[in-house]
Amino acid sequence: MATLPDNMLATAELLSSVKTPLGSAALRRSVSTAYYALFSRLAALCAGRIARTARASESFKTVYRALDHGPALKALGGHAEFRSPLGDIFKRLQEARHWADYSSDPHPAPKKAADGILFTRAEAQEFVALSREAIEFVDTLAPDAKQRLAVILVARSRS
Amino acid sequence: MTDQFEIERELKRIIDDNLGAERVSSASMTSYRDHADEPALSIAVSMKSAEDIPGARRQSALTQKLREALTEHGDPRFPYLYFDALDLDKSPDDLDDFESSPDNSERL
Repeated sequence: MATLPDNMLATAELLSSVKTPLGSAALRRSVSTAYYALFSRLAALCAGRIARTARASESFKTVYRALDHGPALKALGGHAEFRSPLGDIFKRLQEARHWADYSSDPHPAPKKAADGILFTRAEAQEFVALSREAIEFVDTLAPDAKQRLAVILVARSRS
Repeated sequence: MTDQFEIERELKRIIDDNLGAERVSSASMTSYRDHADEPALSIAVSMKSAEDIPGARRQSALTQKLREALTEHGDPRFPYLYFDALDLDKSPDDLDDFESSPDNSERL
């Protein structure tokens, strides 16, 4: 059975290939969904590795919801083992998702936005491919690396 | 910190070396603060053909090289890559109106 992140990726792909004229809406939803596919994969990893209980349990749900966007970005960017490619992709996707969900600009790149250049279908598909690459990276980690990744994503470091 | 012009020239060299200078039409760089209010460098790379746009794995490898080059110069900006190509279809169907014209003011 396909996982939720798998289905979210498939949804993102579908949205990026829609030919019906929906303005930029379908492409924006594609980019946002591609980000959330990766976010969901990481949240499930944390819950599975840390709660170690069934998906329906309160413990699983609590850890699943513990993953936070900003701290996860910092954790990945500050960790030598996971900075590249995972942390870099997460950062790129989060930036694009922020544009997709909140910005009225026509493109996430500031210069292109200023020049009125539109975000393209091909660019949306690149972000979907990046999300797929990152999810495959997570999926193929050794069990001890998955454990380390789950801990650094959920644990808050003191500064 | 190395002069920003020098750094960006080095980044362009890295892009050319990794993607093939003959395949890159242009690379435009813009400094800004990203959504997390962190220093960022938007790098818009235009390839001559859509077939030359690198896949996810090569894009990640290039991002890593660019980020490491910036870090070596004490430059905290993160390189956000955006690719397009001269022959890429840019559909006008993807244009939105935010209903900001006076004619549509009743929607505001």
